[in-house]
Amino acid sequence: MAASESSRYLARSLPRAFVPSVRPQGFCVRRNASDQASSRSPAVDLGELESTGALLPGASESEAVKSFDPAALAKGRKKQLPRSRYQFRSPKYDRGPLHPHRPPPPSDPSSRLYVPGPFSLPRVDQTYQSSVASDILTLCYVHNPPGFKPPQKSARLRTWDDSSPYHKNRPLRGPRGGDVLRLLRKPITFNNIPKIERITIHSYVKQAAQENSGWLHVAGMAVQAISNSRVETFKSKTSVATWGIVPGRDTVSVKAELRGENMLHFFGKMVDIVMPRIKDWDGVKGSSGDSSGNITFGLEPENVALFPEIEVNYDMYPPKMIPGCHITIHTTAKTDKDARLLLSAMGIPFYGKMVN
Amino acid sequence: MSSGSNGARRIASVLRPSIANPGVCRSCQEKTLGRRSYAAAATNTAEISSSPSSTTAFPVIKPSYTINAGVLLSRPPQITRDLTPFEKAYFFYQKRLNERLALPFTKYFYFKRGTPADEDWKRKIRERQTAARDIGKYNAYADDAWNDELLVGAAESEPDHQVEMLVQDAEATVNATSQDTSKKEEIPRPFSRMTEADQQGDMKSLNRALQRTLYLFVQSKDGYWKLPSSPIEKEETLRLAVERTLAQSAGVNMNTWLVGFHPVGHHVYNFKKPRLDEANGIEHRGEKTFYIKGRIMTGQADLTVNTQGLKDFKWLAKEEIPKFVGLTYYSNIKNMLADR
Amino acid sequence: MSLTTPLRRSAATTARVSTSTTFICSQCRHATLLRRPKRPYTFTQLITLSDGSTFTQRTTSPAPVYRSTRDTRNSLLWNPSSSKLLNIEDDEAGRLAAFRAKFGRSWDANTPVEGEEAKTPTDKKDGKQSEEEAAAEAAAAQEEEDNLLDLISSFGQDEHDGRSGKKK
Repeated sequence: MAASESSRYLARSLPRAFVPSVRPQGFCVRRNASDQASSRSPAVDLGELESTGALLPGASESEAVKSFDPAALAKGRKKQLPRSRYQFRSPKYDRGPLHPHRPPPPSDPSSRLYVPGPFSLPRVDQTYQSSVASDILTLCYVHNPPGFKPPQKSARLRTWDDSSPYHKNRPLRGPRGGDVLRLLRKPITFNNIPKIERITIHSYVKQAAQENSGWLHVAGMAVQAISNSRVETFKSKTSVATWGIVPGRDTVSVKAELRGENMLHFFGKMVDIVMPRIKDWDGVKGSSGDSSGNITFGLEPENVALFPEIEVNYDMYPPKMIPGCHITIHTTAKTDKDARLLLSAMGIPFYGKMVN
Repeated sequence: MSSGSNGARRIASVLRPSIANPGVCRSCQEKTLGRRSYAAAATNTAEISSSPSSTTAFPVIKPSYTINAGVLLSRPPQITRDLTPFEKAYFFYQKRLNERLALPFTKYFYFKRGTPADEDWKRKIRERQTAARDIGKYNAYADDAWNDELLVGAAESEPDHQVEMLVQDAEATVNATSQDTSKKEEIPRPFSRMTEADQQGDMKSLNRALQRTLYLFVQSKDGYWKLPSSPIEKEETLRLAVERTLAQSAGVNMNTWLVGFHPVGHHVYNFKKPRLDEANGIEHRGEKTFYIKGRIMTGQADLTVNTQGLKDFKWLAKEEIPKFVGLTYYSNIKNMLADR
Repeated sequence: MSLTTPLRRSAATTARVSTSTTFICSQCRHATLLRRPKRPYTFTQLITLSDGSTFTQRTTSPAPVYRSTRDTRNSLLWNPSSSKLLNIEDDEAGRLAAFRAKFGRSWDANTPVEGEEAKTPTDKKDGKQSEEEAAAEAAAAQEEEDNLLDLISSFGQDEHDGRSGKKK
């Protein structure tokens, strides 16, 4: 097989080797799979498909389709099917992979862990896909001429000079001035364009420890209302003597973590509706961020009350108990500069000195 | 056998690189060719750097191509795209599943008992059996909750229908809770997703094809369509040349933003026969155009002041472009264009 | 499979070892409860921005339509080049004009310093503004007579429009 193939190559290429090439070598019309598809007429493409589909509006309107009524059919049935024939209930406990009765995977709608969604195609995501992502890719492009070799960087972890015999087999040392290894920023290409990964809404309610837990309940309801997701509560890790907060005893904060559709809807309404209504606000501070692409800013209680979800039943919240919160936007950018580029393209204004 | 085949293969590979082989796909072949040339370039530069006597690392070559600066001026999509039938059906089905799986709506957190809003809400719930307005009549807690699939031809999954339901609900609330029953409150419906320019087929308007990215094409004095471009002058960067091109071709009555300083694509045009310039002994083989991406914010193209003899302009979406430009030109520019 | 088997084996061995030594009180069934995730009820809401553009979003609020009066479409921070939004002077209720009629313009945040104004001839826009203001002031003319602040603020504008100066 292999021999015959190579001889075929040989037979093909031998005569051509002696024929002078007519076309200039530098230029040839690129033809890829995509333009082959586009060059074919759509009629040819569509001919292979079925002309009617269940989802298309002009689907077949036969008599059977018109008269189909599953509810009436089920009512008219004299004997009900046994439950086990049409209803599967997932086991309540996961007893390990060797147990004969396994729960279905979480992606199965019959699973107890199933979360439905998405319910819509968020506007923010469409903006990102259609214009922001490609612009960021263009802006962050760095051109290296052919044959360019990036200068050698020294290793991030330092080695031990073998001045002492005890240095043998020691693990490498961290960088000077601190043990933290910063994230490496790789050149931005088509597959690592920064995007918003998740948003964390966090609210620390000190009165929950000082007065009563009602503050925590109100904060939880408010954060749930603006974020469309359940909150988690946390105990304090640090001791604050002036507020009388003891670590490990007082539950003082609520957090909601948003991903996917919830995150995009929250981001959209925060940028489009809430931020412009904040009084005397000139944006997020340019020095905000944890230098690895996550930007945090705070909202005062009166700003949280501007969310339309809280506005709609503002009276239901006890007066002065609506919490302020910190909102952290986690992006896949590796530096704050890239994250700020992304967020300002998505509509968050920044002011002041930009710190990377 | 294996050694024999290897030998044959080796000969074939030696012979192959000079000519495009139909057995290998062209892009791959170009890639390998390109790689080879890069490697060669790398070895060249390495040699140069290793020998300190050579003074010029980059020898000056008289260009045999005219270098043009082009601008890919685009208007990003203004509205969200239409959903595909599959997406509509999927989102609708997920909403009905969610009806069963999410926590029930906490009515008394939003409506105080006994208020008109509460009465209105109760009446509506009796009518549509669920809190959501956009999933049709469906009770997730009833005996026939299993019957959650839409029948053929049902309108409930259409976004337009869902928006209409929301607006009707709001109007009903306003009319039920307002004091004077004489006048009916009208809540404005969303604007149409098709504009006048779409219906009239006006390709000059920026108000057309709101869901698509539009690109500015101009018609040169010879009658063919192209992206605005002009030759780069001496002592001019690509970006400056693009700004000048934009001002000279489509006028200054546009608020534009050029994205970055790097070209996003290029187009090479070879003359049929190289033109020889006797004075300098340079052979002009054609034109190379490099395109910088731009976004239009406000304004409109205006050809009355152009100095390039342009006759006409159009704002085109991606799939309309092949009707106006040549096949080669389109195949060179199409990878710069956004899908949507 | 391969991951879990050694785990289970080790658990079995420890169990055997422990049974030989002590009696285990706590029950160990190696079963995890699959809790149903709790999510609040969400509605679809139609949001209308101030320029009439609409979009739908998922929200916990039961209001079907939300109309916003102030958003990115008419906020200065998001439209820095918009000349329409730059004009912060217009007050629909006329309270600003009433205040100025009473107390003059010296309380304005962006009034130029009087000395400068006197030195440099005011540009045309300033003169126009003062003219408008003079018209507003004519309504409440009588109590302006003794208003020293107003005199100071309109000092230097007199040479441009003598009419208003004469009235004062």
